[in-house]
Amino acid sequence: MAVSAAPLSRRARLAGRGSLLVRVARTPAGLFGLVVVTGLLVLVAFAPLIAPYDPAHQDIVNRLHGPSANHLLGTDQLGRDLLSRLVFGVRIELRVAVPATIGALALGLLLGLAAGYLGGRADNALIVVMDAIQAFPAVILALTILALLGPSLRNVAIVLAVAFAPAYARVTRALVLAVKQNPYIEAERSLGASTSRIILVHIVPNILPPLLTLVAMNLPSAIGAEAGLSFLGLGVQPPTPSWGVILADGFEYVRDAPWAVVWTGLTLMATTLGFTFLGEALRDQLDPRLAGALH
Amino acid sequence: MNEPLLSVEGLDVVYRTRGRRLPAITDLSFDVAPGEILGIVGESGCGKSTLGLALLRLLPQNGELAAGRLRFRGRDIAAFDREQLRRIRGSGIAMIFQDPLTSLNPTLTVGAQLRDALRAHDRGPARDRRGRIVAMLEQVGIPDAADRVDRYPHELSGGMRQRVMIAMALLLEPALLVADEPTSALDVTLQMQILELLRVLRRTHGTAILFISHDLGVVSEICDRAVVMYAGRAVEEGDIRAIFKEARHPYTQALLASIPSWRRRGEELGSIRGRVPSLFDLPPACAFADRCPHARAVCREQAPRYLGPAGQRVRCHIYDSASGYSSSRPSAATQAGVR
Amino acid sequence: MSSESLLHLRGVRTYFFDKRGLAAQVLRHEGGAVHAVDGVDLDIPRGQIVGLVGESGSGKTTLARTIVGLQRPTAGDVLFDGRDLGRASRAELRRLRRRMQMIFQEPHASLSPRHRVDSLLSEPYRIHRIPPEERSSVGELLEMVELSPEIASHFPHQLSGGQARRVGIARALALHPEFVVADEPTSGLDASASAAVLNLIKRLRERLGLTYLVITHDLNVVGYLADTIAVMYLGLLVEIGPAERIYASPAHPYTQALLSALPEPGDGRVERRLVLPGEIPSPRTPPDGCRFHTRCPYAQERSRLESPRLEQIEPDHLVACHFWREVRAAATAS
Repeated sequence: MAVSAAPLSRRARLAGRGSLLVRVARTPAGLFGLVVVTGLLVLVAFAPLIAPYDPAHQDIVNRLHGPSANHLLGTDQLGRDLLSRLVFGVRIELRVAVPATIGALALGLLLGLAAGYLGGRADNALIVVMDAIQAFPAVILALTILALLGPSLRNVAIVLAVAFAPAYARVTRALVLAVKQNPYIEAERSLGASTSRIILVHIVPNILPPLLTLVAMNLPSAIGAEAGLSFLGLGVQPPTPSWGVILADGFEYVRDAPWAVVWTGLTLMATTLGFTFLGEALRDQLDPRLAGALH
Repeated sequence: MNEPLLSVEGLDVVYRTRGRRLPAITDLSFDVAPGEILGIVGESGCGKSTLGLALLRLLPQNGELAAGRLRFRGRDIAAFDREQLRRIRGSGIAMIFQDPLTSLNPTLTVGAQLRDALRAHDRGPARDRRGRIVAMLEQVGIPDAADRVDRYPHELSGGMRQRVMIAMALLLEPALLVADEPTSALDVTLQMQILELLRVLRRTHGTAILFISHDLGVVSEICDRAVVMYAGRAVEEGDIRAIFKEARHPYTQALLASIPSWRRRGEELGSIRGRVPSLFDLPPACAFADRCPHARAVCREQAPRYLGPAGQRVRCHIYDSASGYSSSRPSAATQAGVR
Repeated sequence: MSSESLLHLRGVRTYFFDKRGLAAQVLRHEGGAVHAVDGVDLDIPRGQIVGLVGESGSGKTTLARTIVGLQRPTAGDVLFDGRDLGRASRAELRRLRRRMQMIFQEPHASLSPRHRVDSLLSEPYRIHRIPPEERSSVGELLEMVELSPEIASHFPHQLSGGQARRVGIARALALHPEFVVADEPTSGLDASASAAVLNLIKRLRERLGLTYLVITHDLNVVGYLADTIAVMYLGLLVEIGPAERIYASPAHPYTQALLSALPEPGDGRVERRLVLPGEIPSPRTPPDGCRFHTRCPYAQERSRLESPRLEQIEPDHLVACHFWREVRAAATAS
């Protein structure tokens, strides 16, 4: 018995097709995100091959020039090629943002698990701690920690991990509270499983996927935060080409030679948008698909 | 009146998902006479819920009426545009769902939602509306209707919310009420009340009801006739008593044999071997062949036709004298025995 | 009463108290409470299937959870094989609890989604550090519930409802319990899968000598399976008795209403129906006196003032109703 061969509308045909990445790539936002993130990864891997100059190489004679044949994006106040500095800057950014985000995730996971699963007084206490950290103005927090530890890539990552941890902790806590309600947690309890076993074996694996989506969307915040700290002189020190440093340097000359500010700003924006869109597209594709592709 | 209120002919509904076609409903045909209560029975995945959505053209984006005719009061509603559909929904055909909590807007009072329904269909003068709403709430058995009308859905119990849904559906005096598992989420004692209510409403308003359910017991309670569905197809239809006493299709028979009851205490319940096939992956000819204790070779080669006198059709080679069933050999699977 | 009692409940009460904020605690303000289980005495003899029937708000699930230890009783005693679980040491409690297992209501949701079936089935052994000699193999467990061995490598979402339910049963059987609490064993299942599970429950009782407490709202299930039926309403048992007695002549109007709700497929409609008015009151504010009186066709003044106690009206048959004689007369007259 043949099903009728009447053609489906285009909308119906498109609505369900393809693997996760393909579906993400089909949305304009997701495609943009994928392109940006892939591009950044390429830059990280092949920076020395892509950048035309050494980012520290100074060419004072040609300082503060706009875009030209030799310097596609122009030069900064010391004659360093902006393009090269931005390209190498990707490594710096990710070298800070990635450990910072992972650190925040780890710390937040720990706190959130304790708060969510144990509940009661532990929960109340931990929430107070998280509130305290979040209530602290981020800049003051950064100042304090960096003053104690000294400004460096590693310490910036530590600062950011601490600053972002409460957000992860809250999300983790909420996820744990939700997962805790599931009958399978009770089933394990009735089998006699200990608390630590339940947390490690049954809760953590089930809350990781949404947390990873959060990581994707949070990474640009870490990048932006690093740029901000460096801009204020609190983070990475020049001549390391962190985007914040480039921005700070370029700021002085913004009226006559705004190139540094413009290109860095655009790069930051594109990166942030890219990760954010990718994260959102991933989240959209993951959630409703789970909730019934057939209905 | 000989003209059926609703006439479904050769309906195909297809979903497009993960790049493949999912034939949720295939070649479905039945009629609903005015004032009749017709049951659509089947287990999960048989397509009955899709039917409800399809009738009111509420299918999700990736669903489509791929073929067939839907005639309501003689007019082809499959071809209706949005405006025409809007006018039919509610006042021609109304629908109530399984879970009244999610079908009612939690931010509006009950009265406001009922008023919106009335307003949307321009029924009666505006002044009258509150009175008619309260009267309808009383009619569906909501105590203190004048007070309850200003309450929010979450302030009412499940049973009362379901009654509100029924009230909403009936305010517009539809000719046909599509009820999708209306009592499944309710306690047994409440179920009885709601069924009683539906019966009363059929008596007083002449509303026809398309009662969609997986619960054979409930269907036998309230329906005049029933259509049994399997894997998106109608496999049998008939008078409710006939179906329960003399089911013809092997699936219906197996289904009836699987219902536990006091009477069956000492016996083993009949259980159908295998699983309901995935709609992506149906057997080539008869969808039930893999699980049927009477399957023969022809059942895997030729799709059975839906044949019989009007209102009593069955989709099975056993009853089709032209199918070659009697001369066909039993299939190997059947010979292996059914548990 | 029975001699060989495996499980004995004495005056079990389980209340859920509202969480009070700091201010309320300081001011000693009494929070509200839901009296989910409000004084239950029940005896389950070895080898029997007891069916506990009730609708929402009856407390049956809470009672089940209290029995297996997922919920601590607010008052009363739970005795398993003569031992008081409330007074047992931690080690003894652990040992006792292994002998009673629960099959959960939702077939898929009670299986940890990121674990394969073989891992789920060997989980109980890992938890209790059972030495290999005492373990049943995954293959054996699957065979006991009539599942094919390939299922072992599947994830829960790849299983059908019926298969998931059986995996849940297999997991419950892994520790070789004597007592199994089955919470709505047919929920979420199709007619055919449901029938298969019920058949399986019966077969396992014979094969393994299990004792069951089956919790359900479906009187058909209980009529088919149970030796003894206990009917629960708003936290209290209203009638308990052998299944034949309950079906033949129920003594409580609520039981009567539940039974009359059963359609008789194939016999045409049953004319006499007891359709109860109103809804189940909230367990937070149960009615005074007899909790059922707000919906009871036999209710009188006395119902509002005095809560009936369970009294024995026949051997093994108890009912909590002031007017059980009238109820029975009416039931048997139809």
